[in-house]
Amino acid sequence: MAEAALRPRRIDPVLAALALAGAGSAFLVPFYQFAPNRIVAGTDWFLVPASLPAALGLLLGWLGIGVFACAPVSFRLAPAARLAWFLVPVPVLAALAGAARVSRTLAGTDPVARVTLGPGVWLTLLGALVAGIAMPSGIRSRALVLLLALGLALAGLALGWFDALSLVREARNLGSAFGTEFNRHLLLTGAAVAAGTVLGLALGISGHRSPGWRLGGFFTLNFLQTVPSLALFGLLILPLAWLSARYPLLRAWGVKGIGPAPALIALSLYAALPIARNTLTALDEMPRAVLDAGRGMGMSEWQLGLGVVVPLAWPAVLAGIRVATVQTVGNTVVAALIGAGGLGTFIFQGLGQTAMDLVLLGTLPVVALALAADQILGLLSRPRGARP
Amino acid sequence: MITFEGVSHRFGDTTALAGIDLTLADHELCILLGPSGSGKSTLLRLVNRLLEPTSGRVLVDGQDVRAYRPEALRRTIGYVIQNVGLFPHWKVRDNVATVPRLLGWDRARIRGRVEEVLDLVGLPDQTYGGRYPHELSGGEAQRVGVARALASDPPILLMDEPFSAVDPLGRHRIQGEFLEIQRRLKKTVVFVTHDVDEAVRLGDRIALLNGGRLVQYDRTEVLLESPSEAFVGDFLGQDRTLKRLSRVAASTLARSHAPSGGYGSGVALAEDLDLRMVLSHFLESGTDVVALKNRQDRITGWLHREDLEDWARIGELVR
Repeated sequence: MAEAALRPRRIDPVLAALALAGAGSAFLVPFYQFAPNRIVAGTDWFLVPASLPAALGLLLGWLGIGVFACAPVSFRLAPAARLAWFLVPVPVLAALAGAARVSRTLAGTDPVARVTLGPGVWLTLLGALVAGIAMPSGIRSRALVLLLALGLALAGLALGWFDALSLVREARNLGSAFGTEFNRHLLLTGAAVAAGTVLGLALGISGHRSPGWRLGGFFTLNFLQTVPSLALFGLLILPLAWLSARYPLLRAWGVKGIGPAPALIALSLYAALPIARNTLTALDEMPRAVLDAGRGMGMSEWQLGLGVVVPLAWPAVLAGIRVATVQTVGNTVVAALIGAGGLGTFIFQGLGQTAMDLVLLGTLPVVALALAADQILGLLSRPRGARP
Repeated sequence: MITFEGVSHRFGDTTALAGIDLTLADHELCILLGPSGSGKSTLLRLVNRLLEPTSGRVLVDGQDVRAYRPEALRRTIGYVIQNVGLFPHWKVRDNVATVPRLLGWDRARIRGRVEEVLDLVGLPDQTYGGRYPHELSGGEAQRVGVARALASDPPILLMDEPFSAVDPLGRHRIQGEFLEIQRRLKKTVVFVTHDVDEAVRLGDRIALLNGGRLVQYDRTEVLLESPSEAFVGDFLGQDRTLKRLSRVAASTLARSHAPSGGYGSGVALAEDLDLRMVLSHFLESGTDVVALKNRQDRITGWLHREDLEDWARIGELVR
């Protein structure tokens, strides 16, 4: 039954629908908005009058994907068909090229006027994402295509093609602050995941060994997971402020009621749960026969641990770290509210000023970071050789 | 030689073993037989110190096992368990090399030995050495388990229901193969099972346990023929005589001269067939005598039904 459902259909329904919708979007959805300044809502521009070459590129890209969707199954499954994955970024690049063209026509006319990316661009991005998942590809060709597309977009950015784009305008306004907060976000996330990993491993192992730890430790972590992150940050302010006032040494280390200290504590606690849970499951489900055989053949506990338990539990633990990392990238946004910095700073600033582009400027790198972390850790956990 | 001296073992309040005295001779395959909960696995695990006796001593070659470091002791004793317990992330040849590596053998020696034992269990290294455990059938995995236990050529093998997870047909085959190996290697084997047929087929001697007590310990034939108490008879089953027949080859009762009055069934049976099969043939064909042939298809003698029946009644005990 399941296999029958997985057999490829004569026409790929997902890709065909995407291609149709994508082509239609060129005429039906506004791709860009033009606004005289930061606050005023802009006027909609459709792709077809805005930039004919961009519209042509977009249509060709979707047309290619549509043709692929209708190609014979044998062709779609052939290894060479993976080259069709090169079509995936074409509509997105076309939409960006359109943005560059529109923004160039405005460049120099008015320093406050701006072009905003409209729903059409975001929908194209989403469509390309789904198409990228639905189309067959090898991991290497996929990485190559993505890097090429990203390189092209960044080159355009560097050459000033997008200068009148509102996102770029906002970024220019921020200056070096963007890099600072980006690094800070990375640092907070990295430190929290590292601390969460240590905590999670420790708790997973003790939970496996003692029922008391299992009950108490996991109850605490599960409970904490239900506390909204903002509330947890808030709850930590008081005790940390008290500790900081009482112990000068802590104060010297920068421990305060607000700032990175409470953020790191809360983020580490959140990150610990998936890691602890996966560690515990992996240890609990370690085949007893394997351990018995290892011991019975004269392996010491160390040899058994390093040679058998760690390699067998590692994939599950890594999966936990992966979940924790993606989750922490997002959670770190909220940390900006208690003065810990990070990309959340822009999001909350933007919300306060109803400047959606500033919000986007904070959001897009967070999404990109989460996706990148997920992909990288996913690559690490790919099984080498064969596994059960 | 493995000796248990007044060995008891308790898990909390439950008594798994109560005062076992037992000596297992070298180069023999001794079965520890009993229902579940009889303490047979516990007894086995005392030998390589996976468990320690609550009281009493376990001696290997006259030396108390507590004199050795557990890891060192275990590396000199082969160990095979029911669920095999192959390391799923290691290839077959790495699994087999486990103990030699622990013993610090050099690479060339390990390689040679791995090929040797894999050949012994009929899984040539070229075909099977590079496979992972999940690519093996149940029977193949169990053979690898046996090869792994034999890798360092230990004088003693502990086997805890090694074949009970294999399907019946495969189990019969692997038992036969293991008997062949044992005939050649003459290890001192302690073999735990709850399967009477397996015990009768493999065991030189059987130690029957019940509720942590040793009920009877004898040569397999003797145990089948003269159970010491009702439990032994019940546990071995009403068809004890048939089981006894199954241990004896037809050739042992063969007469060298041709039958005078009886009727032959017209076929010749292999002389290494067991008496139970021969009886089955008599019942099926309604005849009283059958010719026996060797591997080269030459007639080597005749087996008379009356001889078989006499043997079944009286029994020729080899005490």
